[in-house]
Amino acid sequence: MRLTSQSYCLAVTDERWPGEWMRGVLSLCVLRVVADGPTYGYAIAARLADAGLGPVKGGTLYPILTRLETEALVSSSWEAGDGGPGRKFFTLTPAGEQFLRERTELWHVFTERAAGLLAPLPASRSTP
Amino acid sequence: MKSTDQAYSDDLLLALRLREVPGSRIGEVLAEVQSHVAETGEDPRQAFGDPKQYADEVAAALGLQRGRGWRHLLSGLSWAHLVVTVVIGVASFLLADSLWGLGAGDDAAFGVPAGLMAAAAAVVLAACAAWIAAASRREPDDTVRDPRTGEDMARLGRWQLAVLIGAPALAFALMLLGGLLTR
Repeated sequence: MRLTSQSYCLAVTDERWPGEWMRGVLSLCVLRVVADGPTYGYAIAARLADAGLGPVKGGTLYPILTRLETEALVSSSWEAGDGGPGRKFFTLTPAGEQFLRERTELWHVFTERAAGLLAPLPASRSTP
Repeated sequence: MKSTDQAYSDDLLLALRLREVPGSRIGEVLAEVQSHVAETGEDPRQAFGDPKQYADEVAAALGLQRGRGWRHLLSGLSWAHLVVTVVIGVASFLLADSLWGLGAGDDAAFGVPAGLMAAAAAVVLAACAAWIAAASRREPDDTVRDPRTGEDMARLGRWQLAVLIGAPALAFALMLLGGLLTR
């Protein structure tokens, strides 16, 4: 029991969430970050890390942004950087806002239901 | 840009082209990688993974089907391409043969004066080059453009162009020289 709770704590502080969970929720979270105002890739990754979702690599983040862009949920434009290679800013479109509202509401219902089912196991079960 | 970053960019460009990602989108992807790597100081391979795998992810994000292989590549070829290829081959052989003859002071193939044959073969080759140039201009513009500057990101470099023109020119010059040496 001791060991389990310890490794559980480790998993949480390490911020390495199961891959399939991240795949499920990441694009919605990216959309939510963009909803706070035009922003660019690195800042989005930093915001996700600050929120405790763990480090998100460029190789994961940009295809999500590309998909959101081809679905017209975000739009993009390049801005010159200070001597750097420039930044690509993403902005939420009206369709993106609509989508985000619907999916956010759905997400809350979904997680509440899942949490309701995932009641903690009785302590006696784990010490045979 | 560091040379390793440039190498990654080149590999990624090729991988995206092979997956038939449109040129304008390839420009976006390459610029994203450059911008991100400059911001984080990361190695592109570490941040974006293997170029082929990353190209797969991009293609999937765009809803493109996985590459359909050689059969698909060949389907874009017409009879005209095949005929022009054969004509270029024959004309190149006749030009080389007549240059040798010109150097050695002999007639070219089929008893035609070497000078006449060389001139005719050169005209045919020039016509083929013009046909290829015209055909490629008719293709829809699919250049890999940098979204920040509008620059062509996959332009033929100066030395690449030099090799492309210089290598055959050198080969023909050597034929003439070879003929001269037989005198």
